[in-house]
Amino acid sequence: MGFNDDEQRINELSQEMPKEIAKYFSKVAKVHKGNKLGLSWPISLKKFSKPIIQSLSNDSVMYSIQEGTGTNHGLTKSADNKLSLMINETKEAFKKLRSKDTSYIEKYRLTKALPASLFFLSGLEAYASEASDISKYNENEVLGVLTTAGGLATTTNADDQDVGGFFTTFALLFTTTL
Amino acid sequence: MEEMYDNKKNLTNLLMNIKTNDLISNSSYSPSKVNFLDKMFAHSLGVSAKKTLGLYNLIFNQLQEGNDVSSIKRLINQEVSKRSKVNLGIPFFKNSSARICGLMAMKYSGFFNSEIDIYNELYAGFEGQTDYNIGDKTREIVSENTEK
Repeated sequence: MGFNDDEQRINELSQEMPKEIAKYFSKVAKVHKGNKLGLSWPISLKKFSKPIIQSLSNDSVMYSIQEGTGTNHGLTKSADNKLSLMINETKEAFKKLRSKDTSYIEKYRLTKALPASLFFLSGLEAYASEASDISKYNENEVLGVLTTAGGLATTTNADDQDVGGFFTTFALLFTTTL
Repeated sequence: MEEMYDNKKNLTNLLMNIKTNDLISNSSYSPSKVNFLDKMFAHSLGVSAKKTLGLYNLIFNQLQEGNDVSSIKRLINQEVSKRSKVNLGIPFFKNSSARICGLMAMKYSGFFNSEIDIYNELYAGFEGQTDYNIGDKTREIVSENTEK
């Protein structure tokens, strides 16, 4: 299970990546390989490999530097339009979830359909106040999404030293123990 | 990126805002049709992102204070080791700890070392400046360093 059986795929994947990101991925594989895995995230990591690559290369500061040097390291700008679309979709989903007219079955289906991005944001919930400082987004929208995500996905507070919470516990069950 | 800033402290605030903005934007790249475990994986990515943001905050504050680059690198590597460790409280099981593999990979691939080098150049370039365009200044610093 995991990377031990999938070294070839990781090599193939990393050949197509920018050098720094390929280095990152091969290290992830190595971190997993040298340890007792137990349960891990092999399928999820493969599914999320594209978003992870994008999240490492989506760096506005480094993008400016890339432009300044006239080179191409695969760095991109932030996905502003995509983000506002995602925020609107998420807001619609929560409106339906709160509505008394929505049946329980429909609510259950809706919960299942909540996008993974919402769960990513729930991990970032502690930074909601910083997020609100970004003037180009509407403060209430960003805070609304982040706090709702936090309320949905976490039952206790999480901090840097001791990550708690129902979802976090489940999430961390699948990280490698070193 | 095109606003005016007057000192290193403002530069730190600006960079933190850009980093936060980038990380929030990254959530929109997550796949939509995923199962329960994938959503949990997405949450752990968010936790990693939060910790990464904390590390960037530390880097920027250290650079703002003008600390030595090699000591900042040592400090960050120690902090990654410390912050990547998380406690697991699983019902009916003994408490144990685990490490977030993504953060460890960032450390061992030298990700933070090259980030510190680049941001150090940025802070050094902005020193003493009171009024500038960050986009133009970044290009200027980079082209100066490329010519050397």
